[in-house]
Amino acid sequence: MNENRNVILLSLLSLLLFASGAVNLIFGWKYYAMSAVFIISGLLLYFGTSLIIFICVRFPEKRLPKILLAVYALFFLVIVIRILYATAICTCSCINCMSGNYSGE
Amino acid sequence: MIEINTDYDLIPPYPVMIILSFLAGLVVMYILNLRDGIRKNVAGYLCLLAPVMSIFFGMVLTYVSSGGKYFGLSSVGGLAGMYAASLTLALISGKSGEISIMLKNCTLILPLMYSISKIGCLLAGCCHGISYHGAFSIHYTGKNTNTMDVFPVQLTETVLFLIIFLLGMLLQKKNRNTVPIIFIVSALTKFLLDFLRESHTGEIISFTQMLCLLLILTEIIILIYRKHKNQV
Repeated sequence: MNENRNVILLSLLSLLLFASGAVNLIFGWKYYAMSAVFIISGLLLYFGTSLIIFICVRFPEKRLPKILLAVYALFFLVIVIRILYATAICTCSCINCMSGNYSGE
Repeated sequence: MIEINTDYDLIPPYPVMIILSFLAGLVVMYILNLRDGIRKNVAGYLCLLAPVMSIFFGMVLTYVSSGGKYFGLSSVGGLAGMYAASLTLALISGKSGEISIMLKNCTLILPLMYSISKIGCLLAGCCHGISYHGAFSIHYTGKNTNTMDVFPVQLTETVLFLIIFLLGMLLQKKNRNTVPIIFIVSALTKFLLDFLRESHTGEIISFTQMLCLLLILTEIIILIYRKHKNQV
């Protein structure tokens, strides 16, 4: 029972960290040039994922962390492809491409 | 002369090669980790954390070193991300012996990943070499690079780092110092080849070269410390 409660609490904490990072990352695109939004988002995502991996490794029989991990993995995949695509099409070294406003200039 | 047109229609080659480099690197690292006794789930979770950390660190280094002006993937930052992921997973797993195994396997696969990713740079026209018209020169055309003839520095990196990777895989069981030597040789190769990049023109030593020197120095200090510890 105690173990169940720990797993749920840690999962919620990881979800909170991850969600904060994701919100920062998605809504902070246009502020990258002025602030450290990108760095903070990355760190939050990292701590959120690391925490959920920690629960998965230490409590391998629990299902909740595994479901969260699958969701995280999917989100990461989308973000990684988005970043790589933006990096690939950007030849102007400005911030517009990253915010989805690539004009082809 | 090798002709490369950097105008592409639907699929840009750069992200394709970066994704392929991660796929190849992670598969080899997963196999090496399993072979060295790392649990299957830990080796699997590492494959999830490593690419994210590598891309994040790679972008952060470019972002910070340019004073918040540019985004782009830095290979040295990517290397730091791969090590950070390996270290995190080793600490999570809670077995002290796994730290050295994961870091060792990470070092072995990095030249392979770098080798493949440089094909992406070659095709996209970024990180290109100094102006050169001799044998094997690259003739670029297209809007991303304009028309120019340059030294095939990305191709040289691809070939050399593939050789370093293969040597590392062949010699790792025969000599216990193979992994640190692979690390030093990789950093030294990158340091030397950076002189042939156009972006290096007008600089005595680039930021990437400074980081390479720092990596070499750190590895040498670790080697000396280990040798001293073994003697005691």
